[in-house]
Amino acid sequence: MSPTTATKPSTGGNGSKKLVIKPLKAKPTLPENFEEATWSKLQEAIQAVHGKKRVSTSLEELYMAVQDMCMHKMADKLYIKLQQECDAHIKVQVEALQTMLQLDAVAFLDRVDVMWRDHCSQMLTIRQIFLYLDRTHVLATTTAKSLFDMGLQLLGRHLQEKPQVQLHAVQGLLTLVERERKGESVDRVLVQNLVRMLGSLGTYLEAFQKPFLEDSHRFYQVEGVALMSEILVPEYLLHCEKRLSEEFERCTQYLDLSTRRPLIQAVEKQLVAEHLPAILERGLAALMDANRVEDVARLYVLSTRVGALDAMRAVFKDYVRSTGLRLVKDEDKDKEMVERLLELKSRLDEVLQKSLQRNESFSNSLKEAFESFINQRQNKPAELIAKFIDGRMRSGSKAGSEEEIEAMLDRVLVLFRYIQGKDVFEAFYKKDLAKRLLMGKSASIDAEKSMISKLKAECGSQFTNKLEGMFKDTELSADVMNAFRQSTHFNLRLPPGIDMSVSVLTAGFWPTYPVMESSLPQELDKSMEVFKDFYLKKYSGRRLVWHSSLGTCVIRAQFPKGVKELSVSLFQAVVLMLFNDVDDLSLADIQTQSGIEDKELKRTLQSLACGKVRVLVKDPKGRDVDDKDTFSFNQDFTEKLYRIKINAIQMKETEEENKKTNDQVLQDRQYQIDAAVVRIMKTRKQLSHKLLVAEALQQLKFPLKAADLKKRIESLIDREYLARDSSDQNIYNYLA
Amino acid sequence: MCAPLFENEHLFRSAGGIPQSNTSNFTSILNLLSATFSSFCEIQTLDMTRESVRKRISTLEEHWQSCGLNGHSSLQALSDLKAHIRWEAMSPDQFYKFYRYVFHICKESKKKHIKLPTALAAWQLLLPGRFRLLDRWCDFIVHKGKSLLVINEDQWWQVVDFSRTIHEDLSNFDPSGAWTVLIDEFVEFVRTQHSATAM
Repeated sequence: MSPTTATKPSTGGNGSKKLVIKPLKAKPTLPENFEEATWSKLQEAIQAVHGKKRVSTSLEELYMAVQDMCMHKMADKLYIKLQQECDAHIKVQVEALQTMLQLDAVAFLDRVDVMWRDHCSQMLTIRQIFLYLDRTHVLATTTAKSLFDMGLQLLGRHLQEKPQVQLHAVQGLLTLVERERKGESVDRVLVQNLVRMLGSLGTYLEAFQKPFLEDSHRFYQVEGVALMSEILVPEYLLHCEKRLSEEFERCTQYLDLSTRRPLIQAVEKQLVAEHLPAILERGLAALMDANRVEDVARLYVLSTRVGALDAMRAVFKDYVRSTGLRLVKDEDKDKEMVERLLELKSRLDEVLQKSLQRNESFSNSLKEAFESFINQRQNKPAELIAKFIDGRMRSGSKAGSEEEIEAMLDRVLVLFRYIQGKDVFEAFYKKDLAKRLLMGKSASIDAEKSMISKLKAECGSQFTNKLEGMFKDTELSADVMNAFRQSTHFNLRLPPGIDMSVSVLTAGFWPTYPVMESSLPQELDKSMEVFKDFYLKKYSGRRLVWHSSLGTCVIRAQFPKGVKELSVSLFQAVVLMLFNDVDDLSLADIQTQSGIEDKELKRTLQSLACGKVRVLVKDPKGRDVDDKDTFSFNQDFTEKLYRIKINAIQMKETEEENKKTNDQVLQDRQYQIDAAVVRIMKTRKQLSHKLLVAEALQQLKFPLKAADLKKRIESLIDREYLARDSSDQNIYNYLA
Repeated sequence: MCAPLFENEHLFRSAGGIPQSNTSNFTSILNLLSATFSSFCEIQTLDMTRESVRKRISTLEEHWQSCGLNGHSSLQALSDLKAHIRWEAMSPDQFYKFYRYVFHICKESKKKHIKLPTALAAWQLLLPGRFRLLDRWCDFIVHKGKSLLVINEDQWWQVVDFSRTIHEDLSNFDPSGAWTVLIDEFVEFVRTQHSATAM
């Protein structure tokens, strides 16, 4: 295309035709009776629709008619006329309902439903016919409502004039819901329709929701009270859960969503909140006892819903405390206490995890409860925990694989964490550990070391210092023995036929043992001398003290019926070797020759002559050893095994020993209290009683009664470390 | 330093009226007590270090003991001279000093405490009219039996402090206060007895 041709667009043909529009000669006018005729046509149609009859004129024609009337500025009138027509019809409908009030509420609902459906469909048809009106006039006029809304408005107004109709309908709805709650199946579509009707009419909140909620409250109040007395807690919880989900579903199915919240609240309040204290009181302990994880979880969720977690937690804590306390106080079953506590702990942990969603505050309550009950019986639990571990760590126990032992230790350590008297635990643990190490009874040195490192992580290195020292001693002793065996001392100077092994213990690391004297057989005496000589040459400046009570021997005995090897304690060996020379000895003889302390000697003899394995014969026979008894070598001794272990009675834990350990701990504590008080007073110079007590309690890590602390303060006053202030006896002064 | 202080003189009335045969002995003890009490009070009032106070008191104690006054014999002497010392008439402060003084004369020689029977007798002698719960206190001490053998200085002082500050119904007693455990136990004792009788 050349640029010059662009100015005039071509119009297609060569010769252009002209279209001429001429105005009408006379202005067209509406027929005279246009308005009346059209309206009557329309009115007829409306009445046909209302009367559910066929509309004789085609809908298109009617639509055109409406459009015509609107075009000719008759929309206003048309709207009013239509409104009157509908009004009259609706009035009749409502009045018809009014006459059916005597029908029972549900049957009545059906009528209302029919009326409502008719109304809707009719109004829709009418709107289609009058669509033009609806789209133009109604949109342009602010006061006029859309046709459908107009229908609703009219219906609403007429219903308002006949309040019984709506009241009766609502009554019907409530009846249906109640029936459904009681387990009948109802026509949900019907209810849904009517609820929508109320919603459309804008009376849902006032006319339905209010009475509905009141009804729900009443229903669940009655149900709650009745069920609480009828069924067990777990069933009740299940029921609550069911009800809540039912009501939830009800809201989704056929009620307005805005009802959900108040309705669920009603159920929560009447079924759960009202009875929760009783449920908790009656049910929680039983549920926990029976380990009903799911029911507890249910209870937890319900409590969360009604904001009663604190109450539940309090009951939970009480439960843990009282259950634990029962275990701790059950003195007859002390031996099983730790096991039972572990079992309780793992049970509770499971509940915590599965039912309580690992709620942190519950976990804290659990901890507090354990701390509280486990320390109720002073130091016994600490002692038993130490013993429990000893039982597992000792060789021959059925503790299982390394992993199992490890897991067990971890679990026990949790209990240990709750214990306040950690020093008691340490004392007993140390005593048992010493025994395991010295007797070579430890099942696994790895497990031992792992335990020590756990304790170290828990309580710091100061706590395990001595325990580690004990391990070092045993290792060092092994080295020393190796060196000894290769030395000339061992090879040349030791009496023939004797092997020996010595554990050198650092005093201070180990528990204190009473030194028990005894005169040893010459061979042993000599051996000890040789070792001592060897050791002191290697480590000059040290002092060796022999603890005979801890020694063990393996000796060979020639019985008439066979040679046996006896594994015995040193004291047992000493006594037995006296019988090398003679066959009969009186108690007094044995005592003078062995030099063993009376009580210990009697125990030793008892183990040899009255125990399972009787290498000696006591005369007269009997279980206890008396001053006048005599003993003789058992000529008839028989035994299947070649090597026999004769259990020494003193090796067993005696009450006395336990008491001693406890006393030792108490003694240590007194020193610690004194030291703490003096330390505090030394820095403060002057301090009131209360502040001193508070500070001392903070420093001291074991449980302490105020009276005990006071006694130590008094003792310090007596020893003139402190003095009461002359003006105020509640104030102490530090005396430098 | 053995000169009696003026204000104490009227408290230790002259021994002229004593009819007993060993009047001279009585008079000498009375004079001794009177004089040493003065010095004792003087020691308390002077601004001295603790060390020197203690030294001077122990000098006094040696003095008494050389005159045969220690433990129960001192108490016997006090009891005999009751009419002349007249501690009932002392002002509270004066009595407080006297009470502390009694501890020192009744001490066992070389010990830091007085024996329980002596203490018990001393309370019964000194405290009537001053300690409303005295009978209860003595019951309690007897009730303690063998677990309580001696009374130390602190406990001794606290008894009179207790009698001076705590109401008869124990309503203002603070168990978390600095009272010695013995006093705490006493309060406990009275309260349990009270609740037992109330039931």
